[in-house]
Parts: sequence; structure tokens; C-alpha cells
Amino acid sequence: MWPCALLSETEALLWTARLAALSVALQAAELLQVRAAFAEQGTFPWRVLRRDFAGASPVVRAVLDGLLSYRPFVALLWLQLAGALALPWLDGALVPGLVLLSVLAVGVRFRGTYNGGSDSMTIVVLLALWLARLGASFGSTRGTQRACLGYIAAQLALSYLVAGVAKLRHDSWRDGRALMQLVRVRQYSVPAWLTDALSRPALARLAAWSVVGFELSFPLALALAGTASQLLLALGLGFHLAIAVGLGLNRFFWAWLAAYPALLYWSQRL
Amino acid sequence: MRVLATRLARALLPSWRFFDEVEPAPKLFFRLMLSAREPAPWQPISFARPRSLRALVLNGAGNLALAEHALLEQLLSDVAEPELRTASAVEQLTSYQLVLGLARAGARARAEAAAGHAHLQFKLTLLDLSTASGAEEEDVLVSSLHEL
Repeated sequence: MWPCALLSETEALLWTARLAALSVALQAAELLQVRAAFAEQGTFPWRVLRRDFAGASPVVRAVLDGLLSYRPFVALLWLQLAGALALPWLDGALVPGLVLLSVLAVGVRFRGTYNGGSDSMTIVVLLALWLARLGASFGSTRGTQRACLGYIAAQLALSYLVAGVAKLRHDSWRDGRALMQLVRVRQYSVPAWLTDALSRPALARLAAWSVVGFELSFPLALALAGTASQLLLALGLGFHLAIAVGLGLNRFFWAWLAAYPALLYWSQRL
Repeated sequence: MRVLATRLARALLPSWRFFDEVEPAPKLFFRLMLSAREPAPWQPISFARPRSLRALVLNGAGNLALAEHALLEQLLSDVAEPELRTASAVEQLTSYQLVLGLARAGARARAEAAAGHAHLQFKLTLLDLSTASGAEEEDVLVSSLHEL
């Protein structure tokens, strides 16, 4: 059930931990599904990827070899899965810290990120969870919790606002061409019914303005009260579901969902 | 350490500028060769994966294909660096070696076509999606011959 009553800091962070657990567990499970691609005969072999670190010190290279070559990396993914599942159940900063490190290690192995923005939002959420629990273990609870929830909420609002402003600057988004082109990019395997629908210029323009309008208005969820804020959050979920169905970017749905309790918490107080 | 720091910075400082511009999409082709004089036709490698409703939850193959396709974009970005002046310097790039691996995997997946061939070549084309026909291609990188 979606938490609609006034959330305390502890409740908001617990919901964040639950949803982050789901998101990270799915990410680890997906990587384990395709782990053959990370073996020496696969498409992401460590013997090739490690060339990027040829200039690093022997100690750094030894650490990376010990962490990111095939077998240790698969073990790391199992650890990530176990850590994610433990996240809502075990207090303390150790588990979120380890899960955060494992997500960062995945990014380092895959030359920055494995799945772009979804990795970034996962890191934002895990970093805040880790800091909130670290603060609690040093006796600073409420202030740190509020700051950590604020960091997630601010990054979430920025993620939509920056994306919306960046699109608005381009003619191709304002006249709908960008969306028509996006659904033709073959690697996204966009369903034929959607490509057909968005090949109509008027519909593509309407859909493009809907995307830009939604992204620009999302930060209002922080300022608006009650139902209006929750409506924007519901629209956000629909937006990510549509992206998952249309472009196959399922990870974005789960990664962004994990950030929503923080925004809900702050929207109830601003 | 600079590479490690750059990667961590990329992960920790997101730009959030999703799909602000839809760039021409790179496409990977390979061809098999008995010798330099006997090339087989170019064959495309597809990164599209069929998906079901289950992929809303677990989409391992689809997300791997996206990560593999991102290597093509990384290679194009790397070869645009002005200090890369020779073909051998390009071939030393990690992204080049990874794309070569993709081409080899694509060729080996078509075992019948690959049988009897000793070498392969790959090329990247840019697919301009802004044209009315929706598909104008331009070769942007053609590799030298490599062992299959």
C-alpha cells in the first residue's frame, strides 16, 4: 500500500529502504541472468576492460582484478542481491554501505554506468540511506534523516526539471520530431503500435509536449499540498511505466520509485 | 587513478539530461573473409530484443543489449579524440576491442556463415533517423582484418 498518511522521517526512510531493496535486487538478478556475457569469452571480458586501468598503481589494479574479474564479480553480484534483500531488515550503516559499494563497482566495471541514469538514481538513494544510518549510529538522527531525505527529493525533482529544460531547448522536441526519431531507434525494440502511433506528426507533437510539460511541472510536487502532489507522483509512476513498456527501460521505473517516499515526505512539510 | 575517479564522478554526479537530443544511431556490421580479396557481404548485428510483460520486472537480456549497443557510441566518441592519429592507436582502444568482441560474437552466432572463414572485418554506420525515409546510413569506421 502506498503510504499516504503523514510520514515520519523513520517511516519515509523505511519505505525508501524497501523500494531500494527491490530495485537493487532486480538489478543484481538481471546481471546474474546474463553473467555469461562477463566471462572471458563474453562481450564484457575483464581482460579487455582492465586495459583502462593500465596506468593505475599495482595496488589499485590488484584490487580491481580481485573484485571485477569474472568469478569475484559474480560473487559480488550475489552479495549485492543478498545485501539488497537485507536492506529493510537490518539496521546500521554496514548493509547500505556494502550495497552502495557494490553498485559503484558495477559502474566502474562497465566504464561509468551499466544502465545510465537508473544506476545514478540508485546511487543517490543508497548514498542517502547509508548517510542517514551512519548519522543515526553517531547519535544524530532526525536532522540527518531530514537532510538525507531532502537530498533524495532534490535530486528526484532535479532529474525531471533538468531533463525537461534540456528537451525544451531543442526544436526537435518542440515540434515532436525527437519523439518520432526516438521510437525508431532499433535497440529500444519499441512496439510497432507505438512507432506507428508516433509517426503521426500531430500525435508526436502532443506526446512530446506532454513529456516536457510533465517533466517541467514535476518539481511542483514538492510545493503543492496533498492530493495535487500525490497526483503528480502518480503521473510520474505512469510516465516511468510507459517508458518501461515503450523503450524497455524497466530499471528506471524501480530506481525512481525508490526515491518517491523522500519526495512525499518533503511535500507533506513544504 | 584518473580513470577510476572519472568513473566514480560520473556515477555520483548525474547529469539527468535524458534524450535531450536524439543523435544518429550507430549500427554494427561484420563481414567474413577467406582472404582480403574474397569478402562476404556485410551483415548487420541486431541489438533489438523481443520482450514480454515479464521484462517490466526482469529484463536482463534487453538491458545487456543496451549496454552492448552503448559500446558502439563509446567507440565513436573515443575515435573522435584528436590525439588518436593512427589506425593502430584506434585498435588499442578498449572500446575498439570490446566492439571487435561484439562483432566476433555476432559472427560466431551464425556458425553456418562463419564456417570455413578465418578473418572478419567490422564497420560502424550512422543511421540518420531524421530523414523522411527514416534510414540513411553513412560508414563512419571500417576496421582492418581480424582473426575470427
